[in-house]
Amino acid sequence: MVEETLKHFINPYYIQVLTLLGIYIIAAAGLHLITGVTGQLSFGHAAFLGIGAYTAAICTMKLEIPFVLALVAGGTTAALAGIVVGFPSLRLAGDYLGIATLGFGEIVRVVFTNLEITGGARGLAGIPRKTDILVVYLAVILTIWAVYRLQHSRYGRALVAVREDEIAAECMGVNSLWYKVTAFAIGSFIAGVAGGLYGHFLQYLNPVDFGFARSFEILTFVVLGGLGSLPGVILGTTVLALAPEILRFGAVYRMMLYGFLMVLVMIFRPQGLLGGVNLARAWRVVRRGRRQAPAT
Amino acid sequence: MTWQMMLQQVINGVTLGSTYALIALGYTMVYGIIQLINFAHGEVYMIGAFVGLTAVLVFKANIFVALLAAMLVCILLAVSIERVAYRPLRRAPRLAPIISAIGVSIFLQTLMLIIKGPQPVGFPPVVSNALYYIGPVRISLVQIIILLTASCLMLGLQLIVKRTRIGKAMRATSEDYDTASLMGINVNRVISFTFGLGAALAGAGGVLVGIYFNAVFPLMGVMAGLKAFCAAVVGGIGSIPGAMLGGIFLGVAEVFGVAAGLDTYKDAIAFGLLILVLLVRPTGLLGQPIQKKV
Amino acid sequence: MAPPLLELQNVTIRFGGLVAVDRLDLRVKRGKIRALIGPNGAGKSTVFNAVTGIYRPTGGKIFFNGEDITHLKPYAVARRGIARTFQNIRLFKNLSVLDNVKVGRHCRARSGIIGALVRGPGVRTEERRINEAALAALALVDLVHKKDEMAANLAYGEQRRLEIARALASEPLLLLLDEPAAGMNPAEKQDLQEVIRTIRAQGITIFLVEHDMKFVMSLADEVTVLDYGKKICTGTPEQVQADPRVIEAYLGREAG
Repeated sequence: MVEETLKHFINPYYIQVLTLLGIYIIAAAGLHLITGVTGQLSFGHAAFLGIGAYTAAICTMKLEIPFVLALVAGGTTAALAGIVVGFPSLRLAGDYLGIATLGFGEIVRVVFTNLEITGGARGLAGIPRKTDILVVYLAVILTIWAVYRLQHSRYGRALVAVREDEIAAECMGVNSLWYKVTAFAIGSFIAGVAGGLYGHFLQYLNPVDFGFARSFEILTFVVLGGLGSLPGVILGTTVLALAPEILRFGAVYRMMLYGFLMVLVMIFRPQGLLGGVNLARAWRVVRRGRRQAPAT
Repeated sequence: MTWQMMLQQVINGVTLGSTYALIALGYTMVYGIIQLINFAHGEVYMIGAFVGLTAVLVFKANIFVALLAAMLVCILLAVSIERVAYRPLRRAPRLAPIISAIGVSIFLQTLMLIIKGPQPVGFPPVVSNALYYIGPVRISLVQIIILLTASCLMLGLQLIVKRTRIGKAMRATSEDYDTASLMGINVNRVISFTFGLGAALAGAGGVLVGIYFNAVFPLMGVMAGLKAFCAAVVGGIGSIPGAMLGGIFLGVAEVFGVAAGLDTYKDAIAFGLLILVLLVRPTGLLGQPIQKKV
Repeated sequence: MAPPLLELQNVTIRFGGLVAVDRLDLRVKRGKIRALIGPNGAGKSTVFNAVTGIYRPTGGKIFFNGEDITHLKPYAVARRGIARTFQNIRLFKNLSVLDNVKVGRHCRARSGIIGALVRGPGVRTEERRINEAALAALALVDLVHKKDEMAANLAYGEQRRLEIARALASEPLLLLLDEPAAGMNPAEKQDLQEVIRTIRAQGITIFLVEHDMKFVMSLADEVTVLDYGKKICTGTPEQVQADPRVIEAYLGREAG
């Protein structure tokens, strides 16, 4: 209903773009928790999106479960998968973990391509349209609130400690494996919910959509926006997800430009756009400056 | 399956595996020296295939010239990529060069998609379709050429790494980057050389694969690159013999998997092996276990 | 005689073929300042790493407060009241000074995921207590004025002090200091000695590894000398300094 009213004011195409952007932000927030905050390389994040998407779709289509519950089911399944994958893999150091998640992501994609229940290579069609821009942005707000709270708490401090120096964190009493696995599970849950929203928006799911290309896309949002910075992730996702739209002019060349921009941004700002920028501190500095400066 | 069929599959598998090995070597050498997963390597392989194709189609070259041309172009390409997209990020946070590599990969893929279109192009007949029979098994001339070329290239690589000064410099830099530079080794040159070596092998691999499967297309580097990377990890990332072993092992596993009826899961075989190795022996078949110093 | 707070029984630590620590027997008495010295590579940090669970001893047992902690993981060891600093400073670089110390207090608090999301009164009280304890620890090392600085931006000496504050935040029974005076000038070393004495006055047992003989001798109640992983002498600083084996192994080899 909200969407119908909006359609009178804004071009429905833009509503679509914004809806997808919202879904991307949720997915990126999940990866932010895993990779940005806890420092665990995950190159298979899209697999959890896919697991959530297919689970939610099967719930609504075959089991007649209400949409919100289906989303929760999708998220939970993805979270469980995250624990199953995470538990053995998170003992691996850095790059090896990334490689393992990459492998896992591809295996999931191949499995989706082969299962009957997911429609195989033809994909799953006819998913009911349950997602609208209101639902998505409610979910965005909820997700950002949750991730922010988690990040700025004892739990979040422990996650960052694990990222900064796992051995030192352990010696402070942080059970690093537990924190890594839970961060993975929560991040995967969030991705699963994003997937469920995605499926009920596009009304069609194809395994190709959940391969490493998608994983890398989301990873780019997180890194470009600034690793470890939640506002950075939102900014990065917005800029990069909207870039192909803005670059519409050179439709054919736009992906080339996209790749070129990725390299450029990394070279000139390797920590990401808002990487290392503590917005709260910057705000305090600005306020202090305003108070000290005489009114002109 | 009879033992004759098995032997046949082994031949097919080793041939396929040799091509994986050629690509895997590039991944492993670069990772060994600067701990970077060079996600653009698959695209270098792809461009090598196209260069070979062009050499044959346009310049009517024979296979050896095609291989040489591909190797040369790939060396130039890889060295340029390293200089532009990776070197500035050598002291940057871990994920920055990875994202940069992905950017390069996207750039090259799209470039070739624009120039050549997505459809696979066949290789003109540079090699005859001759088949040879050794007892019960059948081997084609193409397969022989692949096995011979790959072996020669890998042997050449071993000679360079073990017997030349620059090879020694490569090994030193791989072991300890900072000490190597303090000892007067020009690490930048060594790294460029490493990239070049890996690219030459991958470029040759691209031409060979193009001939073998008679198909060259812009996205061919994506899956091949990923699988070759799996091979490198399985063999032990950073280990040159490991990449060779891993490539061949993967090729054989894939061929046997398909023969066993898993053909729709073919791509997953590489990743399944990868996960298995990572869980059981993360440093790979030939890698050394790393001791943590606190 | 009261049981020792920390006891190593016949502890051997082997890395492949290399024996880093060889059948070490060592006791740390409650409330004392205990030192472990020896030439470079003698195995001193390895002992610390074994006590804190980073390395697993190849043989022998480690007892803390009467409990066998030989096979415990580092976080479990920390929870039982052992805190430490590191030879090669291991601060959380991208956290503020205050947050670094708050992480040090991790094992004395409990709020988890639910607490982070639903910030009830219990959680808020706990956060306040964590904040107070962290500030108190920073006050001891005189770093409160830098509490919002990024840890990476501190001077070297300040970083060492921060590590100590972080270790103290958990109110440990035993504090392990791994070369705390390394890289400090004489004035800083004096201050550090005062800090260590203050910590001991609070009832915390201190076990330190150090290279600087003078620093150790004026501070420690009891000293053990390690060479090539073997204990070659234990006693008061005076006894150890006079021991010919120590002089030969350590003082003789290095020019003081």
